Amino acid sequence: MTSDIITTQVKTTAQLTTGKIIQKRMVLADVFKLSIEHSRISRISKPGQFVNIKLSDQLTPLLRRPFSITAVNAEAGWFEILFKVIGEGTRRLALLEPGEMINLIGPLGNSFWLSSQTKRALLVAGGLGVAPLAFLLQHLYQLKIKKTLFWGNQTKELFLAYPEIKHSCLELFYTTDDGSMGYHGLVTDLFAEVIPKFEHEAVQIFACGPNPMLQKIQQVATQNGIDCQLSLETLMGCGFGACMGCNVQSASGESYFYTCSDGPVFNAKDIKVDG
Amino acid sequence: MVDLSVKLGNLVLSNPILTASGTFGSGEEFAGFIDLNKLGGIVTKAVTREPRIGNPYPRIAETLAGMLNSIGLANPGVEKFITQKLPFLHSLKTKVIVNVAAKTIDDFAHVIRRIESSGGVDGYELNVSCPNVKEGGIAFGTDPRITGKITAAVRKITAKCLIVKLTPNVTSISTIARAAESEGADALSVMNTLVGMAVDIHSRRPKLSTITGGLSGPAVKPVAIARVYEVVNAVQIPVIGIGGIMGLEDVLEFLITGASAIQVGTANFINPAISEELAANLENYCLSHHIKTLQDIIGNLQT
Ligand SMILES: Cc1cc2nc3c(=O)[nH]c(=O)nc-3n(C[C@H](O)[C@H](O)[C@H](O)COP(=O)(O)OP(=O)(O)OC[C@H]3O[C@@H](n4cnc5c(N)ncnc54)[C@H](O)[C@@H]3O)c2cc1C
Ligand SMILES: Cc1cc2nc3c(=O)[nH]c(=O)nc-3n(C[C@H](O)[C@H](O)[C@H](O)COP(=O)(O)O)c2cc1C
Ligand code: FES
Repeated sequence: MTSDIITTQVKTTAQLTTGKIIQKRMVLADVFKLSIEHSRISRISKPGQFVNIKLSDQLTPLLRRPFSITAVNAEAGWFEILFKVIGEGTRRLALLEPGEMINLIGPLGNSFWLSSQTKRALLVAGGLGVAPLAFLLQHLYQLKIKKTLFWGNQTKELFLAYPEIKHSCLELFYTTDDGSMGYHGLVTDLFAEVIPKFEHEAVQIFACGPNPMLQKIQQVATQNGIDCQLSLETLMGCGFGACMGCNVQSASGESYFYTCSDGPVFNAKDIKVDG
Repeated sequence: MVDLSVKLGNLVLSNPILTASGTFGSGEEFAGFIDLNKLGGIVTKAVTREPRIGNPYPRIAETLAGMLNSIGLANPGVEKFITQKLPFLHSLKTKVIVNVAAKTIDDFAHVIRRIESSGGVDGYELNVSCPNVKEGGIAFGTDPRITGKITAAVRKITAKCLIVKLTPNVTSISTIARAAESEGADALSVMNTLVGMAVDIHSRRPKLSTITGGLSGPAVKPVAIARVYEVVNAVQIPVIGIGGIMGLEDVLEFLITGASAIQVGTANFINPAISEELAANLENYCLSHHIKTLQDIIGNLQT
């Protein structure tokens, strides 16, 4: 694990490269974690960054598919992605086995950044939005600040199948839409309830998940005057600034940012999240 | 030794591999992936007189072996292009062609005049074929009279290589091609994207915010080949083939059909090194097939 502390936003030069899958874990029937051997990416990636993977030598799917880096092991030279099967690209990704090579571009995008004043990091994840936040936690464990993760899912299955996220230094709140575990309701509702508790602490919010969740977090952060960073997911044609297909509205609505080259991590104040 | 050079008017390219407008940024985005100087040339994203933010999200949608886009000519405008992008482009040895889009003939002239007085570039590609803007764009490129007028107006301003980029969304592309040729175009780019549409069956909404967009990628190649065939038989000036190029075979197919050069578009998104690879692969192909000059391939279609 790298000992760098992310106090500023970093951008690194992406490479067109290949990596060998060294481990595959089926987390749930449709959720997988792949460990990919790549010494450069494991060494230089920062939380929030992603890789863009080519999933076919044929013409479907044609474009690459982006995935957040969810963990790195710089000494051993591998990094991990955590993903859910939702279409043809992720279906193919789930079929890959250890030993196979994948064609990827990375690390891409910017990273979360931590203010030196921050005493507590509040992380809010919706579903697989936990992927980049898990990597952020990996960095934060080296720091003396407090960490709280709010993680919402529809059901309890992913919590049970993903004990990796638990850590003695982490205060963890689960929420489920069906009430099968933790708080019964939306993660944003719990977050809004709990946030006054941290009124007197210097906190920073880091969130990743579906857009409606991010919108709510953005609201809560603004109302409470808290510094907040959102990691966005948009469709991507290229991942490296060439197609202009990943636009995100600026707060004023008068211009666009681009998720792959200006993000995926944005200061919540700067952007308008689509519903 | 193989001579891969081709001529477009008075512009000599060291090889026929160019990058297509809107798929290669201003080149800088690819500098970390390839040696830009190995390309015949690069064609920039469209430059307009005023800045344009482009269309709302979603602007892209993947389709079978292709993609739809409705970026809407997002670009910082000619003044920022000159201060922010041109210095990098001037540092390159490769040929630089600026794709220009405008709502009026005056605006076309303005953009080119501004670039010319800022050190210029090697050529201009007039985008009279963008399907994703309300004014100008395709509305110009479907009318031979307006296409001719724009070409004539710009021809008066610059002696540099002048390329007109045609849309396939017309009944007779050769009529438009001849209009551009007779008003002084040095070459024609064939083709821009095909108007297309896709619908999300779950939400029952169009996949693009603009409802329709431009189709590109390997799915469009047979259409592009047919358009190139039609245009090379209608004009004397060189034609640049564009549409669905993913590999060397595709390049050869365009050259044999009669294209003097090609542009690679959507493939840059999937493999950002593709353009340099194509230039190297074409050279190897010629070496192994004892082809000394591209003139032995270009237009050598057996019908
Ligand atoms: C920066 C970034 C990081 C990401 N990190 C992860 C990650 O760590 N784990 C993970 O599981 N997924 C992640 N994603 C999302 C992942 O890229 C998509 O799930 C994947 O591209 C789907 O590909 P597919 O071919 O399986 O599905 P497709 O067939 O392409 O899509 C299935 C359906 O989902 C929609 N869709 C696909 N991608 C998106 C999107 N990004 N936003 C909105 N709708 C979409 C499509 O329009 C379609 O309706 C990330 C996306 C981005 C932009
Ligand atoms: C995302 C995207 C943006 C584009 N922007 C432009 C543009 O600004 N100007 C232009 O003349 N053509 C533009 N095009 C069209 C391409 O230059 C090219 O003509 C077309 O994509 C067909 O080639 P391809 O199949 O190799 O992509 C764009 C295409 C794509 C996919
Ligand atoms: S994904 Fe192509 S510019 Fe962002």
